[in-house]
Amino acid sequence: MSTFLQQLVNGLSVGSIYALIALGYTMVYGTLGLINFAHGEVFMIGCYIGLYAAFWLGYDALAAASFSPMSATLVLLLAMAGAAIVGMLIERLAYRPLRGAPRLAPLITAIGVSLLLQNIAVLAFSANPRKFPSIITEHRLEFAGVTITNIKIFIFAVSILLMLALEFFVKKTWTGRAMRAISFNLPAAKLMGVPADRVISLTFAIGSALAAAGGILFGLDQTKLEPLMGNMIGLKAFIAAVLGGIGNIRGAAIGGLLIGVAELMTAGYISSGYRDAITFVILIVILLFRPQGLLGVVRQEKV
Amino acid sequence: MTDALRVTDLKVNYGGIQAVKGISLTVGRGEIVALIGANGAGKTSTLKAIVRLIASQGQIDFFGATAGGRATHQIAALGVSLVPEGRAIFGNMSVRENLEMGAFLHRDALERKHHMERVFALFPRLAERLKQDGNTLSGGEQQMLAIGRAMMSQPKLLLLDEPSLGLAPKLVGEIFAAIRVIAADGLSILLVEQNTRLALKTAGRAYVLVTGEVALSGNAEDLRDDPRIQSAYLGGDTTRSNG
Ligand SMILES: Nc1ncnc2c1ncn2[C@@H]1O[C@H](COP(=O)(O)OP(=O)(O)O)[C@@H](O)[C@H]1O
Ligand SMILES: [Mg+2]
Repeated sequence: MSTFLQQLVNGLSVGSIYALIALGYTMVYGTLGLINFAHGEVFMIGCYIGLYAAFWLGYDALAAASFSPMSATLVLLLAMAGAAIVGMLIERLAYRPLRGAPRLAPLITAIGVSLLLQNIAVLAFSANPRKFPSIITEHRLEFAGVTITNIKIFIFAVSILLMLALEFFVKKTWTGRAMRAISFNLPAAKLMGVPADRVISLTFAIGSALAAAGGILFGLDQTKLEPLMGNMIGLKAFIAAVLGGIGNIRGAAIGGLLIGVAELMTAGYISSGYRDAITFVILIVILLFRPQGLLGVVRQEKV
Repeated sequence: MTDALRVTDLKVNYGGIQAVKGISLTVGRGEIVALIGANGAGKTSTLKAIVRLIASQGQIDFFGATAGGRATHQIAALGVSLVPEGRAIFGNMSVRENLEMGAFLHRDALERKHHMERVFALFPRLAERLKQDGNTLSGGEQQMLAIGRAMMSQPKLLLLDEPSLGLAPKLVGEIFAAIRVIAADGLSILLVEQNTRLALKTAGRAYVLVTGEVALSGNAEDLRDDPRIQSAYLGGDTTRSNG
C-alpha cells in the first residue's frame, strides 16, 4: 500500500510536468493541425534559460539556501518569457511561410527545427550534462510511510495552477475563444474578424511558456540538464496529448498525469527498466482502440 | 455616394483553371443584389475572393475603400460579413458563444446584448437553443445561427452564400423573410443563390454567372421575364432548378 501511494505521489508530480508540455502540443495541433516536433526542444531551452537566469540572479551553489523564493519565481517567469519568444520565432520563421502548404512540408520542417535547436544547444550550452541549480531547498515530509518533498508538492501545485489559468483563458477570454474558433474552423474565425496570425503566434507563446515552466519544474526534480533532454520527454508529452485526445486541452492534462502515474507504477511494481516502455505500450493500445484519444472527438469536416 | 461594393475585373484561378474570368459587379447602398448561376459557375469563389479568403486579381472596393492589402479579418472590420456556404458554425461552441464570436470586433457588453435581442427577434428559435452546441442544430437552425452570427458583427454589407441550400421550403421561407427584414433596415446585401426564382423575387437587381463570366445582368423583374432565364434557370413552371 505504501509503495502504491509513494508511486502515485511521484507519478502525479512527473505527470504534471508531462501535462504542461503536452498542452503545447495539443494547442498547436488544435489551431494549426501541426505536430510541433520542436516543442521538446523549447522545453529544453526553457530549462537552460532557467539555469542561466538563476546564476544571473546571483545563485550560488554553496549558499543555495539563501536564494530567495522571490528570485526562484523570477527564474520561472524569465524562463517562461524566454521560451515564449523562442516559440513565437519558430512559428514565424519556420511554420508561417508554409501555411497552406501540403501537411507533409510543415511536419518535415518541424523535425528539422527540432534537430537544429538540439545542435544549437550543444554549441551554446555544451553537450555535457549540467546540474540545475537548487533554487528551492528540498524538505522531506513523511506521511504513513510515504515520503513527499516540498518540491514535489510545488511541482504539482504550480502545474495545476497553470492548467487552471489556461482553462480560464481559453474559456473566458476573447482571445481564448478566438483560439477555439480557429481550431474549429480557421476561415470562419477570420470572417468574425479574428486576426488569426496573431492568435496563432500567441498560441505558440503560451504553449512554449508552459513547456518552459515544465522545464523548470523538471530541473528542480531531476536536476540534470543536457541538450538532448527534450527528445524523450517531448515524445512522452506528445503521447500524453494523443492519449488525452490531441487538440483537447483537458485531455492533455489528464493524459500527462496518467502517463506519469503509469510510469512510476511500472517502475514500482515491475521494474524501472520498463518505465519508458510503458508509455509506448499505452500509445499502441490507444492508437488501436481509441485513436481519437480519451476525450477526443472524431474531427468534423471543415468547410 | 460610393457603392457598398464595387468589384472590377475579378479573376480567380485554381492552379491552371480559371474559375472566375474577370467579372465586374456593384452593390449600391441599401440594395439587394443577387448573383445567380448553376453549380460550379464561380459564385462561391467570387464571394471568397471578395473577403480575401482566397487569392484573386482585380479591384475590390467597400464603401469607397479598397480591399487591396487587407486581410480577411480587416475586411470584417470594414463592416463586411460573409455567411459562408455550408454555414461554418463553430460546432464546439454553444449557440450563445457562436453569436458572441460574431461580435468579436464589438466588445461592448450592452451593445452586444441589444444586438442579440435583435437576432432573437429575427430568429426566435435561437433564443430557445442558447446553451445547445452548434453541431447539434438542424440545418435550418444552423443557417439561422450563421445569419444571426453575421448580424452580431453589425455589418453594413452582408454577403450570403446559398442560404436556401438543403433546406425544406418552409424553412427557406423563414430565412428569406428574415433577409427581407434585415434589408429593410438599410443593409446592403449580395445574395448568392441557385434558387433563381427566389433570388429574383428577393433582389432588386441580379447578375447571372455562367462558367465564371457575367452572362446577363439587370433588374430582377426584367430578368424574371427574360426567356433565356426562363428556360435555363426557371425551367418553365417548376419551382426549383438546380441549373
Ligand atoms: N479549392 C478549389 N480548388 C480547385 N477548384 C475549385 C476549388 N473551389 C472551386 N473550384 C472550382 O471552381 C469552379 C467554381 O466553383 P464555385 O465557386 O464553388 O462555384 P459555385 O459556388 O457557383 O457552385 C468549379 O469548377 C469548382 O470545381
Ligand atoms: Mg457555391
